[in-house]
Amino acid sequence: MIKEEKVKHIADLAKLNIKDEEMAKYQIQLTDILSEIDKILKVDIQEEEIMITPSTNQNCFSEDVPKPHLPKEDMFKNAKRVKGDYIIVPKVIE
Amino acid sequence: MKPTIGIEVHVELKSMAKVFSLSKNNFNDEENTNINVIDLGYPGVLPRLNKGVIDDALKACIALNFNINRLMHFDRKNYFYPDLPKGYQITQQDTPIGYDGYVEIENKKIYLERMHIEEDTCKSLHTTDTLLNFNRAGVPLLEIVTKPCISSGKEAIEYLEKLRETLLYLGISDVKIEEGSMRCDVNVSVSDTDKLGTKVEVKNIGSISNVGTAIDYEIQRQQELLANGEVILEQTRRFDDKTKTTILMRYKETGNDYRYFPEPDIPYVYIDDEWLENIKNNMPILTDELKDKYIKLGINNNNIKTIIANKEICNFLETVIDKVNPNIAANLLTGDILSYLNKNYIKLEDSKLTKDNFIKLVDLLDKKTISSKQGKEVINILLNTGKDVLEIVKENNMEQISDNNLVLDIVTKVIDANPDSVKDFKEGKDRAVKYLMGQIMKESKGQINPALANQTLIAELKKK
Amino acid sequence: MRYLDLDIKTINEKLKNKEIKPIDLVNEAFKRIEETNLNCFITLNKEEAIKQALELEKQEVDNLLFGLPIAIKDNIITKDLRTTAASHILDDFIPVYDATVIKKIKEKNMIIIGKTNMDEFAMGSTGETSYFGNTLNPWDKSLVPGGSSSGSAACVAAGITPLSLGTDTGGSIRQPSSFCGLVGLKPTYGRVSRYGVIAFASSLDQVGPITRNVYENALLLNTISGYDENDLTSSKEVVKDYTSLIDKDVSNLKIAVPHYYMSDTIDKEVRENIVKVIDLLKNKGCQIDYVDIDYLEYAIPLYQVIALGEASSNLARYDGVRFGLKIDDFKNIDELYKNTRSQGFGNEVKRRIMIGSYILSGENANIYYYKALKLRKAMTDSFKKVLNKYDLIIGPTNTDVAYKLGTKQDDALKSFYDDLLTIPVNMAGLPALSLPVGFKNNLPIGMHIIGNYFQEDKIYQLASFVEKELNLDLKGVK
Repeated sequence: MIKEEKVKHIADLAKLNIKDEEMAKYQIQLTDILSEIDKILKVDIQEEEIMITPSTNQNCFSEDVPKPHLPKEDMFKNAKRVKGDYIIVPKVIE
Repeated sequence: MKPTIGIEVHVELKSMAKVFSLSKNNFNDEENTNINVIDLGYPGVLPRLNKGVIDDALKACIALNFNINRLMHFDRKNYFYPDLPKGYQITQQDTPIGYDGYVEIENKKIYLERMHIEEDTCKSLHTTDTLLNFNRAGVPLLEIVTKPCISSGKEAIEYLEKLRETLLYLGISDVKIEEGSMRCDVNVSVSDTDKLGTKVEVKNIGSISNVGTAIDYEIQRQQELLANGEVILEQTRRFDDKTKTTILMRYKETGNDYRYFPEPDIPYVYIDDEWLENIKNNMPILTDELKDKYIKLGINNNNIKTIIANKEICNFLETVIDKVNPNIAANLLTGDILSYLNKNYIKLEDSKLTKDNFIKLVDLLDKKTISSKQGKEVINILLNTGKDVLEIVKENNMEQISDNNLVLDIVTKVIDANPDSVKDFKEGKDRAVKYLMGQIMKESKGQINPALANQTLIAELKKK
Repeated sequence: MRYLDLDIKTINEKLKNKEIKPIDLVNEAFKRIEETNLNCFITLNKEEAIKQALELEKQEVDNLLFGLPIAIKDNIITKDLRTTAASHILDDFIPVYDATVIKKIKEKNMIIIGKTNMDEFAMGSTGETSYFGNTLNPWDKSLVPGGSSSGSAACVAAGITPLSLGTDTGGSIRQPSSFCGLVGLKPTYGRVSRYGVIAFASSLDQVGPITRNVYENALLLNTISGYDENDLTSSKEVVKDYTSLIDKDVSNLKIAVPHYYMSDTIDKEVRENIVKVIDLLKNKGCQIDYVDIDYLEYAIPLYQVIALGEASSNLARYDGVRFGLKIDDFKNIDELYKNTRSQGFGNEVKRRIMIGSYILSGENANIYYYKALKLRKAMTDSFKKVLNKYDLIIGPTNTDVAYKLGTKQDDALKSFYDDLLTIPVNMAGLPALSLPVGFKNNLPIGMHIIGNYFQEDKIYQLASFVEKELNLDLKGVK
């Protein structure tokens, strides 16, 4: 069974909170899935080539020409915090 | 104690469109106007791939002597930050377009580990909140990483200047560190053994000379710490322009976890021989080649440096160099013309100087039709009014008298009027020539070609 | 008599000779939604649909799909029509553009009735992970309709619309089609543009048609297929007329049946039904061989690594900044992210993106992810080997028929095991269809027909033959 610490770490990677009362459930469920996943470690394959996508396309490009697009008002339509010309977030300082 | 320095440079490419979307690549337009659904990471959108960006990157690969990954894919670098709309940055981790390159600086090769294409983040403005400007999101970047082979601030400066110059002459970036189109992060470590020391990263350095300052400060700081037996922790620092020191930002956590994996939305890119040849055949002349050419043409070293450092001057010179005396042209451009431009804060292309007028002026000077002193006057008028050079010369009666018969007439007239001086000359008195030349200049209202007049005078005097 | 129960060609005739108008079909569809009460839809497009139907009265009936009501899975972006992917995190999201498939649907003058219910972000196999409540199976309201395209399947089965669009990442079109007695196709990866499809796993997702019969399925595929410059993975392969081989002789077809698809894991009655079809085909003269396809037994863990890895990245954009759920309890950016995502995502989604983040983190990327990418290549090659010798691969679509709502909801592995037989196809990017071929306890059983890349026409060829031969009564829906 994976430890609480690890569940917290994993949740942090995915930017999720884990409530105390959910911890035990996640420990079991994540353990189940991860032990299922471990099965692929056992498979012996000679293959060295990776398959990123079934698409066999190559060199799909656009020419370097800007295309018109929707105005800012549309772009900001679904944003919840807008100030003047900007979408805003709580202050982040480097 | 030996310092080891590596530098990571990010350069914004000045393509017309962004790299993974087709909104306009111009960060400086009104806030949040060059944005589309892709730049904002809207649900359902997929990336495009701008071929112009790959062309530009290939030019840089060739100029920086990189090996090229002919078959390449993109990768996602995953992290959460407000300036990263999708929660991942599309970059190249596994197959950077360039690997194992180098740049030659004086007496040394700076080895380059890799160069890859990626997208810029959006620009954050920190007030009481953090304001996001997505104009910059998706602007194409090249990241160029050196091997840890730089050993001083001076070398770092030389490398960065050479890199800047090269990218500028490729015409793929503005490479303005002050405006953020070129950004430098340096890694400095100091060690007294063969092993590399602990890496300290310095970010946020606002000029090339400050990179040198920051590195030298950091070397000294670390050497002192080690000499005092202290341990250096892996950390990120930033350069403070006011104090010319570096300031601790944060200690490194247990390594950033960027969860890289291959980008499934962008198929492989294969660069075949034909594509590469095409890029090679269309490369602009780069600075090393230009320098060699100018040396061969006899342009002096100071002028060459000035020309190379001012690309628009160089470009202008290149358009006329086959048609005029290159030395006179170089002198004019790096002297009066450049100082006029600098004094008035204008670009050459915005000034009143035209190619035709410039060629006429150089020719007049070359043929000594006007004196170099007159040349200066002409330039001034020319830059202020844009009038035709020949007209300026005419209007101001500047045309030198260089016609042999006209010169002889004047000389004979003066000799005839000053028999005493002729006598003095015969007696070997030097001042006689000076006096007679003065009279000749007076007679010609200063317009006579002095060299020709002098030569004619002496010849005539000897006949007496 | 309801017009929407007629086949498309007949409806088209009636539209052409003005016996009916598009508005009649639209009214019927909305009436049927109320009558059936299956929770098929998250958002109805009633006002727009009626308006469009009335406008169409002025236009010439220029194609077979003209004026037909269609239902769209709610992870496909529709301009100005709320699109939620059945998630609380997007429950007020109004798109500003149309997905490419929606543009194509609109070009044919089809009428979008609404956005169908589904598992949240297409993660699930029953429809039960939806923030908007589960969808009911029209065959038996106590059963799951299958998922994740639960509403798109239920609404066609219930006769609300003759056609719908679903998406399939690991079986999300084929499994509910099988559970609801429908024809559902996952096209070849790249056949249909993914632009405007809310990504779950980018290298697996495909949009496809869900219909009552084979011919109508092929018709809808004709409409939505094609290269799209907005989706770099979409194929430039010519779009055929996918109806062209329908009713053509099948006796020359060479067909493989993988042992894996007929193992003890699969319900006995389901297998027996497939065997019946195999016998039928043998009698017709088809060559049918049992074959082995290497690595199929690793399909589920392989899928978990790739689909969840990609999903963890694809769902990172839901952070409450540019769109989506607004929350007010945060003190800093990290809290904004975590609180938005924790309140906005349901349990299945959370679990899956946690696993995905984990298997990509640090050294795990090399241990799991790159291993999986190599295994994916190997599995795909073993499919290709079989398809070099055979025209088609057949077997059951699912391990069993539809089951009770609320079964094993806490079992984190169940939804994956439901897709045991459908997942390998997405891994290889092949086209595959589910076709009803019989019943168990009066519930439809689906047969899986897997084809070679871009040979959807051959799949339809076989499917149409079996459909005709069996001539099942699929109007068991109350």
